[in-house]
Formats: sequence, C-alpha cells, structure tokens
Amino acid sequence: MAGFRDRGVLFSMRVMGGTLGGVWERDRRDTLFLLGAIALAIGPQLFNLPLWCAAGFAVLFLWRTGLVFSGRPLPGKVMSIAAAAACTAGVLAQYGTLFGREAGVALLVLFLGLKLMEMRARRDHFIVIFLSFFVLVTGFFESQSVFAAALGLIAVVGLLAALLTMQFGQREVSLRKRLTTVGVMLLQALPLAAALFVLFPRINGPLWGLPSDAHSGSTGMSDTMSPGQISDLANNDDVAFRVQFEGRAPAQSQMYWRGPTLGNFDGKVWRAVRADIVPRPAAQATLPDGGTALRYQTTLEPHSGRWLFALDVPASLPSAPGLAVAASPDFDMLAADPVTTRTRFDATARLDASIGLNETPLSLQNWLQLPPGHHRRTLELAARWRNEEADNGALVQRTLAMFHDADFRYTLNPPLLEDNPVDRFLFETRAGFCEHYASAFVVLMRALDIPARVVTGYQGGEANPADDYWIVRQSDAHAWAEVWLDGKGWVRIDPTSAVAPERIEKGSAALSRQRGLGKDGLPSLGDLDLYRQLRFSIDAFSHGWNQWVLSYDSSRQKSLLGSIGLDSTQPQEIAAALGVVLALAIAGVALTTLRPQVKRDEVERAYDLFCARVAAIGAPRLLAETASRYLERIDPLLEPDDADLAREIVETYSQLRYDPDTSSPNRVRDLQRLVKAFKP
Amino acid sequence: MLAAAMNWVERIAPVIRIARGPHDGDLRLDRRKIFILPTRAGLMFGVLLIVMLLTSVNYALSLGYALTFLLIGVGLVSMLHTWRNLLGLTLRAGRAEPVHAGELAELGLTLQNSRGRARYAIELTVPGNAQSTLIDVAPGVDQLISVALPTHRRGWQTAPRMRLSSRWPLGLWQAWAWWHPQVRMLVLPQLETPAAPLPESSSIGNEFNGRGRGEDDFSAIRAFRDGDSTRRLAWKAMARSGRDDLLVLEFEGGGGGQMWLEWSALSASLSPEDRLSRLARWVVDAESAGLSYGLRLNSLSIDRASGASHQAECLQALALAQV
Repeated sequence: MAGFRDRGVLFSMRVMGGTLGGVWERDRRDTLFLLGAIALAIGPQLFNLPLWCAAGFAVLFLWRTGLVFSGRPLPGKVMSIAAAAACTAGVLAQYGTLFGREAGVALLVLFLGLKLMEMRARRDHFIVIFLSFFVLVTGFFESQSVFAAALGLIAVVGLLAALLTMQFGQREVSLRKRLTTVGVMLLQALPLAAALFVLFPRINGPLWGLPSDAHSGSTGMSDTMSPGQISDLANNDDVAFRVQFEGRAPAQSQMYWRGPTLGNFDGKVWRAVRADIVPRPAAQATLPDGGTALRYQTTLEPHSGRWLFALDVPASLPSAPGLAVAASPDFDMLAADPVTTRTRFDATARLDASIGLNETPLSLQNWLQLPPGHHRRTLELAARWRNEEADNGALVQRTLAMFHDADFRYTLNPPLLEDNPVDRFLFETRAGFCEHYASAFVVLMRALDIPARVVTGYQGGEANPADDYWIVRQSDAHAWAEVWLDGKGWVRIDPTSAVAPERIEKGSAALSRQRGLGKDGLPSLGDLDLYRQLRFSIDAFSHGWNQWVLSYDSSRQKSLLGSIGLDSTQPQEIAAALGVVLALAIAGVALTTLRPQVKRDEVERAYDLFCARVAAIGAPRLLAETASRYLERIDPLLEPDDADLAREIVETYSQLRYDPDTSSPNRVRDLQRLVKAFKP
Repeated sequence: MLAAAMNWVERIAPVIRIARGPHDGDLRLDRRKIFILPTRAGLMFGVLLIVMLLTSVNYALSLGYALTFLLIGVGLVSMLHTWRNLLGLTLRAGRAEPVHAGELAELGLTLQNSRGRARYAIELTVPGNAQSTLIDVAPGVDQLISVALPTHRRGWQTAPRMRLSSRWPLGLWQAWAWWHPQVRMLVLPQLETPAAPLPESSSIGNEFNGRGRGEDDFSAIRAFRDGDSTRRLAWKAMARSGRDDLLVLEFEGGGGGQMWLEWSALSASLSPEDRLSRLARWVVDAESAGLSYGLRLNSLSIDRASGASHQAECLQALALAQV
C-alpha cells in the first residue's frame, strides 16, 4: 500500500466507480475494467479445461493485469509468437488435433490470453471482447443449467459494459451509469431475443459432422454389463430422466424402466444378443394389450445410447414428433439415432401384461447360451436341482428362496471377483450388487435349461413433491432378470428383491438414507430434510427450464407455433411472422427511446409563458431581444401594476439566468409564482 | 471500404437530403439528416453472431441460441441508441475572431441538447484537421466548443463543411450528419516577419522616433475617449487628480507621432501580398507604439487615428484589399 502511495497512485476503487488509480490515464482504467469483464466471462470456463490450459490462461491474464498496474510496456512480438507456438504445441500434444470441440475451446481460450498481451489499439479490445462472447457459447457445451445461464448473463453485462466504456469521450462516467445503460439496452433487446428464440427455425441434427467428442462426458447405461459397472453408478446423482404420469403413479416397486436386454454371456461380461453372433430367428415383439394402460411422459437426458427406457411392460412405441422408434425383439425401445439431445416422448405401459407368448423353441435357443468351460459348480447344482424338480416355476422359486434364506448380502462394495465370478459369487463371497444377482440367476436358470436373460435399466425413482413428477437418477440403475415360462411368456424376476426387498420397494435413495451412512461411512447430506427439499425445488425449476428453454427444438417449435396457427414447415409463414414480430419489437423500442424529449428547463418555461402573455397584448418578443431590452420596450405598454410585476419577473429571471449563486429552487418557484400572477 | 460505403449511402439514401451549400441559422438534426452504417467493429460483430448461431445450430445449444439472439437484439437496439445520440441535436455557429493568415482561427460553435438525457462522445470532424473533437453534451445544456481552423489566405473565409458523428454506445454503428454553417471569418494579411522598421519618410508629419517623449511634449490632458491608446494614459496626472477618471495625454497639434502608411510608398519590387503584409505589420506596430496613423490604399483612405477599433478597421481594409 505504502508503495502505491509513494508512486502517487491512489489505491482505491476508481475503476469500480471509486477512485482506483485516480491519477491513472483513462486507458489504464478502461483496460482494467475490460480485464475484469473478461475474468467474469472466461473464469467459469477454466474448470472445463485441462489444468495446464487453465493455468496458462491464468498466467497470461495475471501478467497482463500486472502490466496494467505497473504501467510497463507489453511484451514484444517475438515473445508473442513463441508463446503462440507453445500453446498450439500444447493443445496438439493434449488432444492430438487442433480441431474438434475440446481442442478448439482450449486453443480459443489460450489465444484469447495471448491476445490480451497485444491489446494495444481499440480494434484489439473489440477482438478480445468478441472472442470472449464466443467462449461463452462454448461454455454451454459443458452445462446449460440455470446456473450456467446466470453466469453467462453476468458476463454479457460485463462485456457489454466494457464495450460501452471504450466509447466514452473525455467524460468519466460512473460504473452505475454504465451498467444502467447496458441494462436498459438488454431489456430493450429482450423482446427481440425472445421473438427470435421462438420463431427462428430450429434445425434438427448437426450442420456438419460432429467431432467424435461432441457428446463426451455423458454417463449412464451401456450395452454391456460386467460386475461393478452398475455399482459405479450407485453414487452418481445425475438425472437420467424425469417422468410425469397421467393419473396415479404406480407403486415404486412396479417401476422397472427397461434398458438394454442382454443375453450373451462370455463368463464375465454380458452383451446384447446380436443376429450376427447367434443367427437364430427371433420372435417378433408384439406389444401387449391386456391389463390396465398407464400413460406417461418421459423427458430423457442425453446419454449417447439409443434406449428410451420405457416403463415395463411397454404397450406402445414411445412417440414424439420427429422421433423414430422401433422395438427390438427383446422389447428394447430404441430410437433411430443415439439420444444426444434431451428428448421428450409419450408412452404407454401395461404393468401386468405378458410378452413373448409367440416365442418358438428355436427362438428361445437364443436365451439358453452359456459359455463352455465356466462355472462348473453352478452347473452341478443345476443338475442336482433338475433331478429333484421338473417344474420350471418351482425351480425359479427355489432359486429366489436360496438367495433369501442363505447368507446372501446386498452391498455396494462387493469383494472383487477375478475369475469364474458366478461360481465364486454363488458359493463363496455371497455378497454383491444387483448385477451379481441378476447375472448369477440367469446363469443358473440357463443351466437348468430355462430360457432367461438379463435386463438392465432403472428401477424406481424419486417423487418430486415440489412439482408432480418423478426423477430417475443414475443411482437408480438396476439389473434384473427375465425367464420364459410356458404359458406365461417372459416373466420378470428380480433376484435383488429376494435379498434386499427395500431396494425395490423404496428405491436406492431410500436405501442409502435408511442406512444413514454414505458409501464411505459418513453421514450423507441426503439425511437432511432441508437439503432434500431444496434439492427438489431446484430440480423442479431445472425441469421447467429443460422443458421450456433447453428442449425447445424443431418438434416443440412445431407444436408451439401450430397452437397459434403457424405452420413451421412453411418458411414464408415463419419469415413473415418473424418479420412482423421483429418490426413490432423494434418499433416498440424506437417509440420508447426516440420519443422527443424536449425538456426546457423550468426557468426558461416560466419566461416563455411571460413572453407569451405579453405577446397576447400585441408586443411579441423579438428574436434577438434580451430580457431587459424587451422590458424597456413593453414598459410603456403596460399598466403600472403590471409593469412593476414585469420588472420583478425580468429581474428574477436575469438573476436565475446569469447569477448562478442566487439561483435556488425557491427562486425558481418565486419566478413561477410571479409569472402566474402576471395577467396584463 | 467503409468510407466508400458511406459515400455510396450518402448518394443513394432517398429520404436523406444533404443540404447543398451552407446552412443559415440553427440546424436541428432531424431524422432526415442522419445517416447510419455499421462500423468495422460492427461488421466483425455480425460475423461473430453468424458463427455463434452456426455453433448453436450444430451442437443444438439452446442457451447458445438464446445468447446469440440476445446479442442480435442488443446490436439492433444499439443502432437506435447511436442514432438517437445525434437526433434532435441543434447546432449553431458563433463567430470567429479575426486572425492573421497562417494562424488557427477559433470558430465558436454551440451544440444545444434540449433533451433530458446526456449525449456522449459526439465526434466533430473538420476536413483538413487530423484530430477530431469528442464532445459530451449534458442534458438541457448548450455546449459551447470551439474548433481550430487553419487559415491560408487573407480575406473572408467561409466555415468548412463539418461532420458530426457518433459511435456511442457500443461502437458497432456509426451515425453521422453533415453541417455547413453559413458563417464567415475574417482572415487578416500575414504579418511580415522580420518586421520592417516603421517608415521614416516624409509621410511622417512630425519628427518622432519614439525617444525624447517627455511630459513637455504634450499639449493638454483630456479625458479618455474610446479609441485612445492605453499607452498614452497620463498616469501621474491621474494619480494627482485623485479621481477614478482615466486621463490621456494629448500631443501638441494632434501630431504627437503621426504617420501615413501608404501602399504607393512601398517599393514595387515587393509583391502585392508582401506589401499588404508589411502594411499590416506597420499597423500593428504603430498601434502598439501608441502612434496616430492613417492608411492609404489605392482608392481607399482611412484617416489618422489610433485605438483598437481603428486598428481593426485598417487591418480589415488590408484583408479585403483588391490588389
């Protein structure tokens, strides 16, 4: 501090409307303000970058800020070129390319940092601000949450204020005034932006091939299942999808959200049955029509697979405008393309329907495959049971009874099973997560010659009391089994429910709450009711945000515009509507901003009134006539009383006009009173 | 490129009529007098918006759309703000004090903002001046400014056509208007440097060389009249009189240093302009020496006198002389 004072720099906050650098030249204070705005815009994005990139930008930024404070010159050209080469090489080393989404963003941020170093002319300021705007857009790759939107808006205000700051002349304008100006412009721009947002034709699908990393980072189901894969998701609180039921929601224990069906086992990993591996004809999926239909609407988060996670048993193909869906023979509801955007669809389920009654002995062969040479002890057990019992249904019950009665445990941290996992699970460790149970169950069934398969997906969900819908999170990921029984078709069997019924009845969240301990043995935040309520409210808001802001795509646009009688497939109609709305919005802004605001000051208005009254008796003031000359001229024309009044008026007026020391609101009121009394 | 676009717009804009020739009296910038075009930065901003829109479309970024559209809105709104920054501004030209050719004339101008809102960073550009002036006008204020205009030749010089422009608030648009006020400034002949000594020819009516002027030489003391040189103030007499009236010394026979400055007396080897320069220099020198001097040009003669208005009259005659 003392150092600053010594050099005559007043260290306070002039730049924020205070007096930081009171003796600094305008340029330096403006540059500091610009740097502040850039910090607002780029700061949050740094968390999405590799550490060295973020650090690189931070170093450049701090260096530049230091130069503003010290007033030393910017580094020379050689330095800039060397730094640019280093950044390019770093990005190339990190990503193996300079193109694509992530490499592009890293490169953009680093070059923005470098541009700060050669920010000399006004043009450079523009470039830096414009680049920052673009970085804001790239930030939405990572998150489009309400929070990200709020941060973005703050950054936009800062950047626009920095643009504005550059435009002022010699006058120092307070920060508040600058922010007000920006705020007014943003408010005026809002109707335009809203009109464009609603009416601008939305295009589905990318314009050019998306780089492979376009949708990286999404977690969720995969089309394989191996031990530990689903338990990895158990602590992932990300939302998988949200569901709104028409009418009453079914019991939580009835909510099985059907994902990939897996039938091909190699001893360790379950995979989907593919026609090229098992070339047996499959039975066509016929959607059931018995039982009670349950209609619901799902908003599915992007997950880069094609599964739509329909409620079991699906009774209709999920439908949404522009969404092509097919049902696979094993009742997977598959979109034609990976679900890379948030997707909303309507669907129907019949909870107690039967499926697969049309399977033939040949098609059922698909579901009896077992890898040869594995799980010897399981096969022995199956052979023993088969001798004792002929009824398939009874054998299923016997297996479940074994899980329930023997010392099987349900745990998120099962012992690691290296080789022969099914045998070791069934006969040694007896501790596992749903995938262990489903896998062992299906192997045992197949060993018993009962067609069986693993179904993965989600089970249960959490009702959001803040808004009437259900949230299904990644932690609700689940694996269960289906066996084919003569006359009943495919029957869902959840071996986990035999071990840990509460997992199925109350959901995974309830289970971890019930235990009162998180995975690491510490009380989890989820125990706190307040926290839960807050989380529900935030999720409800974010659900609305997703529905109305983020999921606004061509299909929603079509239905929204359709509801006001516009056909979004007709470009002329949309263009006309867009034109009309834009013209109205601009006209509205123009009317509010361009209204002539001729505001003469009060003194002048009072004097004008006086002149008008004198003019009424036939002596208008001449254009170049001063007040005192005018008075001289009209004096003889007036009655003596009026003349006195006129003299007083002119005297007051002259004082207010030419003697600023005497002018006060009271004096102005005096003048107004005098003029009012003056009626020649 | 932008300059070409501006010229082109000025030529084709049908509603906007640029007044040909100078404009007399106040000029109010109404909507028919203001042009507007994007600046270079504004074009860059447009490209940025297109790139942002394409990115949003390609990656289906709803917030990207929202940000892009918000900035499009801000861009359009800022156009209105830029335009409004000039709209309704009333311009009035004042007068300029005469200067000698080669000096800068200071032309006083008034920018009258009758609005209740400040106008910021209005740029006044005078052709031939490298530097333009940035002017802020507070609400309801008559802002007085002066522009320095280069002068080259003696005589009347008309005010140039000036350009008022504004990029405020965001620098994305430039609004501009032309103003050619009908005012003229008197440019006096250049003063000869180095100065030639005042003539000592027969045209000097009395032996007077600036020295030997004592109290004995004056004939009377009389009250100060307009036009009297301050150099002839009778300080001692005033001190003695004890009153506040100004007194001056009157020289005997009114000839206390009189001279005629004559065009015809100057050597014909000098060019006419040089002769005028020398006469102008002599007028200035004679005035500052407190002499009574008269001027004779070819057909014009100004009787001997002294004082500021006499000097101005002589210099104006020299400025406007037809030679």
